[in-house]
Amino acid sequence: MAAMSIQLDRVSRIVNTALPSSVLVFGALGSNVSFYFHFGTVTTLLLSLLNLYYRHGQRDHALLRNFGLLAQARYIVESVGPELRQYLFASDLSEKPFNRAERAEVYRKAKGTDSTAAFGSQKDFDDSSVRLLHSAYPLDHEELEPYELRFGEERGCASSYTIDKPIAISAMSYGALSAPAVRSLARGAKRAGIPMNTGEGGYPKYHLMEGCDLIFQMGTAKFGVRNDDGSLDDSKLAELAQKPEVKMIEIKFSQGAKPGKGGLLPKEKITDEIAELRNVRKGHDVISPAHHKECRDASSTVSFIRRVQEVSGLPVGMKLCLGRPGEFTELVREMKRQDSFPDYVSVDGAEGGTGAAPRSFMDDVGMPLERGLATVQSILQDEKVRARLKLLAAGKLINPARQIAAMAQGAQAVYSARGFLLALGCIQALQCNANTCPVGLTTHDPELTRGVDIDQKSQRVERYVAALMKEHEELLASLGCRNHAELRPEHVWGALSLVAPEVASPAQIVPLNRISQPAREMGVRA
Amino acid sequence: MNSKIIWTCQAIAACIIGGAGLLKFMGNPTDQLLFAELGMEPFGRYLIASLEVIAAALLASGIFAAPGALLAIGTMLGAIIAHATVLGAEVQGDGGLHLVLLVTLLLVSGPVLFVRRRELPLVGSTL
Repeated sequence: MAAMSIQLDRVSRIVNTALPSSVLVFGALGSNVSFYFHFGTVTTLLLSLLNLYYRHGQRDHALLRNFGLLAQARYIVESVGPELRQYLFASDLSEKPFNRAERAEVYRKAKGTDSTAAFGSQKDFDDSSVRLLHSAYPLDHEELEPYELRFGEERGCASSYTIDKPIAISAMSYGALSAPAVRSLARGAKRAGIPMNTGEGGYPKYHLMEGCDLIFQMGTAKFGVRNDDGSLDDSKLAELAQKPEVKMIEIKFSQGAKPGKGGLLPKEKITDEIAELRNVRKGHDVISPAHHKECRDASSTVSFIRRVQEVSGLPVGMKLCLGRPGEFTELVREMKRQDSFPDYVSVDGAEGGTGAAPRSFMDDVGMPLERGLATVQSILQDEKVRARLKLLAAGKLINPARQIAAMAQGAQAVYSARGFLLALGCIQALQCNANTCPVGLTTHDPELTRGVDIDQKSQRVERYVAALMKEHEELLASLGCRNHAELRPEHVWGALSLVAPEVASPAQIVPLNRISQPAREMGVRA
Repeated sequence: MNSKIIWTCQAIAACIIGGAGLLKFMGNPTDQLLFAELGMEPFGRYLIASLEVIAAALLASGIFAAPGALLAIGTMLGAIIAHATVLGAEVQGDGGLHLVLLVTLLLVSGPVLFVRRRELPLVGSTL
């Protein structure tokens, strides 16, 4: 893919140079050989003007701004794609990680165009995926209540933080993303009134530029707040927490796309500025440690979370992808022993995204969100500490129904990263790890990032959030819930059997494939 | 822009370019002379006449007015090149009438193409 993108880059440069040159060539031939050559003069002149507009006029399409007329082929092929795919190639639902139907929904929401579909669902209704169960007595819109969630209230945190939409932009650092992509998201978050997680990429220089609420993420390498030996520098953290934009701190213990492994920034994406912001050397992959230096067991982990709470004075959460449930149970019991809890736990599903991770970690390690979330919720309830903290969910939650399903399973708010990248115009080229992202979002090549118009893209973020919220309200009304807090697992078909076997009582363990269809439809807890 | 204005522009453009195309088809002596000067007589005359009649039909159709306007602008650009490089501003002592018609056609086709640019096939969604 990388080689292909480089060729596209080169070919587009050739085309962009050849077009105006060919106007002159055809013009000369038309004047000196035969007037018929002027057909070529007129055609290439019109194409050159169109190319000029694509490259330097319009700001809606990053791909056209970067590659010009050549990229038009993508839009043309896309416009005839449904017919081609229907007869020749893959279906709309066959691509991964997000199929074309899912991506198209985000694109339409972000562009503010009609996002309804016709004729019927294209999903495979014979599979075992989670679905929402509506009420026989849906509510009217006027009966719905506004959403509000206050982090830090459980322990009376003086700098508690309240959100009024259950959506946040998940962790994406400068480094993984380009500067204009980060700024587009941050400006979009500001416009939409939602917080944005900075990712673990050190001092959030570009995130801070737009004035949105930030959740500063501290990864295992502690970029931006580290001592030279990789331990936490309290003074740097305290200084950062003083910034008015920084509302919460998130300690990242593991990530769904690479659980049990530290973050990874390929050397191709390390510029002088990134090396400086992260205090690392250029020319080498930056691989964060697999764990926090301070955290070697449950006791030290709880102590460390408390230390971050005390130093920062802000609500502090922990992000994890669930591995062995027993370890999480032990951690929760240690929190009880020390009477010290994080202000929130963010459960990242194994299906979560990343800029770069080894394939085996991406595919085969960690618990998927539905099961991980249900298991964490179950453990917190069993230990009777559910009211001591907030629960967030992340992992492919790009559409409202999946977000509502996660909230029915215990999450009080959701994170999405890739949903917002799609809103910015990501075409899922799968080159986030190669510094060749054709739409300029996950690259630092100035030739490619020039395609990202911050103001225009931030509007898409705002529209995407507005459309999500509108559909949240419609779904809540359909489920008969006045607010998100009324969502329960019984609103989700198939959720009752999702708790991991290690945690669930025998009565709860019912593998989906062993439940008879009528029993599943009736929501029977077998 | 007001749709009545656009329809008026389309009608004017269709009349000018359609009339010019029909005259060429019927073998108008001036056109024969011009195309002979360009070294395109008679095949080029019939080719251009066909394009002009098609453009007029598209402009008049309404739903295909955008490609019609583009085709009209393309043929007019060719004509302007002919005047600029071979024919000169005045043709057969017409006092520049031919050239004025060309420029008028450009002036009425331009707004049609701009307003209806999203209706262009293939590229419309990106404009």
